[in-house]
Amino acid sequence: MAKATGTAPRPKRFVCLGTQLGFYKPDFFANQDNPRLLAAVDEAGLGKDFTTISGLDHKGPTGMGHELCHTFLTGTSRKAVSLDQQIAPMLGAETRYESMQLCAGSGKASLSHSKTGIPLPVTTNPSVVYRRIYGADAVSLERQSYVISSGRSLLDELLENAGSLRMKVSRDDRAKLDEYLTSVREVELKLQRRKQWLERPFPEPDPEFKLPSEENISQALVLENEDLMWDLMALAIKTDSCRVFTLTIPGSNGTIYLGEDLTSSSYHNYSHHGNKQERVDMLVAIEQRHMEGAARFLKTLKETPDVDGRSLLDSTITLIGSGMGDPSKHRRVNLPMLVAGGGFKHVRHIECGTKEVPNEMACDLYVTLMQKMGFDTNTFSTSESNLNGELA
Amino acid sequence: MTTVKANVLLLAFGCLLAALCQPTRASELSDSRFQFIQSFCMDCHGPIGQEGDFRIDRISSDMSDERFRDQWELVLDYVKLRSMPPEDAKRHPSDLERDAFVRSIEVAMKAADESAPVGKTALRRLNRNEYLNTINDLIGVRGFKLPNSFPPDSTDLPFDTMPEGLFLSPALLDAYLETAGLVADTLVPQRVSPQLHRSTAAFIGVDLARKWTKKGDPAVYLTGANTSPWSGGIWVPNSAAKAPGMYRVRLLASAEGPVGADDKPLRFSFHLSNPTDYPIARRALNVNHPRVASVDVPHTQTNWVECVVPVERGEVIYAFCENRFSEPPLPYATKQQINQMTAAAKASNAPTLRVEAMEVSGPIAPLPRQLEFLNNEKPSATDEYLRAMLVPFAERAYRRPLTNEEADAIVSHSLSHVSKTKVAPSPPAYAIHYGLRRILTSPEFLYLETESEREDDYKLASRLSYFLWSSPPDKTLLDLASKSQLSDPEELRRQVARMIAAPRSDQFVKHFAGQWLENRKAERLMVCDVRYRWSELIRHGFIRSTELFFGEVLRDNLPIATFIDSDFIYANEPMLESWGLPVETSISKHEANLRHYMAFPELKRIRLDEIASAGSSRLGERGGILGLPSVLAATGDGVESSPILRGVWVLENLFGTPAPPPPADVPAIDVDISNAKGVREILNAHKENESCNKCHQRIDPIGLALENYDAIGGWRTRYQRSYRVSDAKATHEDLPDSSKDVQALSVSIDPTGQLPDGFELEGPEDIKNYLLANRELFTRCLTTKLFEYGTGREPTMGDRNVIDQIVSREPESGYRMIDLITELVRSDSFFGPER
Repeated sequence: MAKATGTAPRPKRFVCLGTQLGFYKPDFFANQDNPRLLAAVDEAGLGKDFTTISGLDHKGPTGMGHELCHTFLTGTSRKAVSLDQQIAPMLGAETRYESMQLCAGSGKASLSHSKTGIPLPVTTNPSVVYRRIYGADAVSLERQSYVISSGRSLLDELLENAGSLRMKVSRDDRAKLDEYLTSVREVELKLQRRKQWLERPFPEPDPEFKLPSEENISQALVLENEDLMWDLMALAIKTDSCRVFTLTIPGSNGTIYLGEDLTSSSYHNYSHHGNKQERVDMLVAIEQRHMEGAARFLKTLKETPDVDGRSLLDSTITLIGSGMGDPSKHRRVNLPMLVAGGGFKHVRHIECGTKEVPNEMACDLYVTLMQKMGFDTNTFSTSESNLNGELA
Repeated sequence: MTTVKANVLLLAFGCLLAALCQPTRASELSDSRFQFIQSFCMDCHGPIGQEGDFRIDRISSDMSDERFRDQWELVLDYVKLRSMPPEDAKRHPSDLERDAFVRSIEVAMKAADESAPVGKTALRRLNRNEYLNTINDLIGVRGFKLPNSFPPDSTDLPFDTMPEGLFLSPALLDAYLETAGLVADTLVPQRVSPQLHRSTAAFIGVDLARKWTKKGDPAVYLTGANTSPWSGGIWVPNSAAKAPGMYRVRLLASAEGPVGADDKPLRFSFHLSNPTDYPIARRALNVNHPRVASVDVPHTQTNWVECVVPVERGEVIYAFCENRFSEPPLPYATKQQINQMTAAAKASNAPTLRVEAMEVSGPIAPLPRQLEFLNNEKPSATDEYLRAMLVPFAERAYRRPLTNEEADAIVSHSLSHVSKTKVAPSPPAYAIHYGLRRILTSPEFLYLETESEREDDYKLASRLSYFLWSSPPDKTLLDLASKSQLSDPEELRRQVARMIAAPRSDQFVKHFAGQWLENRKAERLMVCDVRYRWSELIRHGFIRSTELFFGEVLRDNLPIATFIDSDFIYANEPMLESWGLPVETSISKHEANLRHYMAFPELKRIRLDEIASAGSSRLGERGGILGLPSVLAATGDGVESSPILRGVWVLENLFGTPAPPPPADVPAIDVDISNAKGVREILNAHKENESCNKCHQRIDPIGLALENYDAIGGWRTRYQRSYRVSDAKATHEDLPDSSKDVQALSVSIDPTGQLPDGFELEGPEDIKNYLLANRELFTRCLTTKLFEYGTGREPTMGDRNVIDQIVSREPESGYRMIDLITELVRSDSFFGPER
């Protein structure tokens, strides 16, 4: 592995926003004329804190319609561990939560896949994220504590009982039962960690943040919920509750609220714009909301110092993009990709798949991100190269 | 026009040569077979040629060797279908030689099969759906939901009943623990301090109701028809119950105007609903929301009216004005219509409820069902009490009687837990709580058929009920099992008929047909509404039309040939309309997208001859599985149809002769398709390469014969727009971003083609005709699908033998659905004696 040069401390957090419906690329990449989707980050004074990267691809099979958006963080196959879950055990070892998988609205889509390639469940309710960060009332904490400790003795008994059951079943079935035994042991460790954290005090709630009085996670309110999720991620980072996040923006089949008004067609249908100007404009208007949330989030990080003196922006890699290259045509080539912060020397735009930068595997970028975070790896998924020369 | 070069991947002969394979020796083979291989195969598939990476001399001649059997099957197919030797081969066998070779392989296979043992289903955990059904069956609590953290099952395998896909991960075990805790919380009354939620008029939650306020009056006025979804429910915000229990709801209210529509005093009715089921902004009075109580509202004087109602965790109490109007049900009203009705109600000085405040407090007492669960006794931490409480629960959970050791372990662990725990509240309740959690996280509950020593009817009861109900066996099945009567063939016939007649067989329709006939994909399908008329009501129609069609064949025990072709379909108006059929529809476009807000009307059964005689011949293209929109749409991507995916689907799911997947790493070859005028010419590229053609000669003609169906199953005679090369899925890899459109405006569709055996296809009718003429193909395919779903395993050779016997016993008039299922269930493969 190429050792990180100099003495600059490594980024220790990773945040990924992935949309299921891509981004409208003529307004996304920084080498375009006045890209509308970058206006928000530029206006927030973050013009030198990000790089957009074009020409990246997973080289996976041409998927069935939207299936390919699930491969954003996994690479060629969707049945593989995602980037965030690959790094979470190390990055998340010291925080209350190893990682958080969030989804705006009730779409329940997840960017994160476990080691066995199964999509991890997402949290869709902002109030749940809030309670995770700041804890619940004393009664339910006492109860949680009881449930955890009794759960641990329960697992002990089950282990004993399943051990004797194991002797009775056939050899083939033993492998299946071993999945159970392994899981019991792993969950015991998880409960132990949970119990330890439960005994440590939760941070004081931020007086400036208020949850809406009634929670509504319907698909129509995907953008409102996205805003809440961005703010909650910033709070979770400020309180150092968690260091690895994915936030999925599901493609909605129904109409959605864009500000006060319901759109007349669905987000998904705008993404099939066929280059009709008024549809493109609606799509961009929706996508601008993603980028406004990102800009607010990144600005907060930039204005907040980390414990080691650098800004939270520098100690956090934020990746924004999609596994859907062109939703209008269900195309998976040339994925929209944006990297912000993380202590990189940002150059606004890198064009991959060219003579200057022949790399074109999206996972080349992931290798670079992983190395920057201190992982000793030269590959991710099917990629065996990196973008270290371009993004350092 | 620029030259378009597509990378068409070489489709190699799927092959798993390994070092362990035993070479075929002349002595092992019959002379004629050896001769045939030497003369017609070895040039290309021997040590010198190794075409397609396949060497026929490297596969064992032992037909019972599972490692090579697939390859022999392929050899058989290729020779039988005259794909091999290829046209340009030096030598070709005579028909006589070919037949003799085929027969000799078939005989060898048959001999091997007849002696092969049936397979054994591996231990497997319940899938997500079975797990939830089992929990619901155990506890019978309204609206019980799995926690958000509950991970989904893998979707890699044809059916979610197959052990290979049912991995038990730590995340899942964690979710089992959490769910077990929720179940125990639900059954055993918890000590929760009651909470009071109160709202004054300004803060009461109100849906799209006929309600208004008056200046200077601190109240909200309500009216509304209780039959409309938008009827004016009110609730206290944020009052969702934190624990199940009895809750007191109070309203400071009065009635104004005359009595209600039924000449009785105006009253509030109380309904319960979990707000996470419905978007808050559109909480509707839905017929499914249980109405739990009602209370009269006194006239003139403002008073507290109150009521105590049983509430489950997460539910909110909604109050409605019950007997206000007698107008007919309104399936849906726009905001504007509601405003008009409200204005009319105000103007007519109609009866009205005036509400100043609303309060919800609780839980003030345990629910009756919770007391009943505790046998209406005060729980005590004694051996007797816990035994009486936990053992029957465990027996239902494990779907069999407990051994003495098992019962002792559960009781003693729960008892000792209480003595160890320092938690203050109610130790006896905690002992039960703990015991329940232990039962619900033990492998005996989570895995099917764990107790390998007991080869008995209990296992059969579970196998049967998870097959046809996706649920645990009911009392009847367990009683029969306890008397060892269930495995009796006549009893099995009776039980299968009883189970299919029961409402729970909906689960079989939903999950077997849902996976076989692609309803699960239809659920997630994203359709381009620029190109197609599309709404949620159409999606609902797609899903229900498959369920109703399959359900009718199943429950009415119709001939299985109905699946191939039928003289009836189920459809709703918007579906027909989207297919371009002239239909008068009464549902607005907006309404049609309110799937989550309202109950859509059920589909109509349509007899195709009635439609035809009514002047539209267009429905002649419907009927059977090939006319089901869920199938036609799931094999496209919501924008374009894909003849290849359709062809592959039909081979796999109707012919039962799946095409091997395209090999992952074969070198790409260039095919010039610059002059292609549409999908047919693009697919013709497959013919130029023998390795592509091997599979595509079977796939492409079927897909092309279905090209008159567009991406969502509508009928078309011409392609309406430019046809994109990539959409034809002619390539296994994506094309460069540029030059992707082939100008093929308004090309007419040519559905003709030929199956490898020479059968001419001119459209979907001919695929149906082919299947009807070769009915053993479909019978075997359906039997195999049922077998795979029911046992969760791929058939072994012994199983295939059993399936073949079932196929060979098909009566002259063809199998009927229940009869076929009965045959399968009674076979050794479903639940064999040697297990």
